[in-house]
Amino acid sequence: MSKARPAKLSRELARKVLESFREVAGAQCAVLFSSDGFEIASYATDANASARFAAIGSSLAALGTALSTEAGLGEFGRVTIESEGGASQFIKLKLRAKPTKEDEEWSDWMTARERADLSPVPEGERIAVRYRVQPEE
Amino acid sequence: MSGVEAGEFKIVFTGPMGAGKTTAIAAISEVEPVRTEVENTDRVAHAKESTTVGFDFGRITLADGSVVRLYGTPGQMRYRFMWDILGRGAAGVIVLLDASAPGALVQLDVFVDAFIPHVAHGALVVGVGRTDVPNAPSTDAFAARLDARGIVAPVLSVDVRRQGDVMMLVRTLVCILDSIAHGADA
Repeated sequence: MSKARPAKLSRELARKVLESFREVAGAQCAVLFSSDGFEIASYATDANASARFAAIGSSLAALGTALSTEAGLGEFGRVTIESEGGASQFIKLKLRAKPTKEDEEWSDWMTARERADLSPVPEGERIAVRYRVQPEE
Repeated sequence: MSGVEAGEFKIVFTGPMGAGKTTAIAAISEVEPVRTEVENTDRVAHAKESTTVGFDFGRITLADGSVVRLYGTPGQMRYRFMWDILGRGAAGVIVLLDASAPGALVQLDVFVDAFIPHVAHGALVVGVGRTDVPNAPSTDAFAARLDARGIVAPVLSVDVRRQGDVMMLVRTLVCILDSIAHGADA
């Protein structure tokens, strides 16, 4: 593992956060991965699938970035794949592989407006999340 | 070969991480290449700062007016799924290898095995870089490796930073495609 990779402690923390997707109806997998396709932490009903999702997700995110740049649409944010049996969403977190002091500040709030199956979340039930980097003690 | 006859076809540059696929396409593309490079976080596996995780895309027009679409694959095994996506419909494949990298001969097998099923009549060219590094296998060693497996393909020493070297690979592949097409006509 290179120095740039997330530390064991933060992986564990990320895993606990992703485990909360167990409570989300219909959610089969949640993976935190690096932009170059390494799984960092995951919650998945099929444990073998998460590493593959990480690689595929990084390709989709890179293609999304290339498309956004090509079309002059600004910074890439997320990719949604709608399929017969459900939907997949790949969301970019603005975290550097080598975090700086700047990354210890909280991100903007991100509000969930859609459920995992892409149905809308009523306004009163919407949750919001934000994130930041916490260095190891 | 229908792609050549139609005047537009696709060739794929593949090979392991660090072999120079992105550089090769950038060296010859007549349009600004589409790149999907991100920061490489695994510097232990490879010292490169960035790595391709989707594909590279470029385009060239040959002297006869044929348009060649150039696709570059990611090199790492976890992107194996992209190899099959990009290999579909390819008229031919150029495998790039760094002779000085550990296991370069084994890497040849890996990429030939992955892409031969995608190209009709095995239209394949191998470009090998850094053969001048001490103890690196020679182009003859790569050719012998292919020969031992019954695969006939040109193996050329290249520096992918040089446009002329990369074009030599493309022209060699186009010659193979032409001979396949004429053989099919006969």
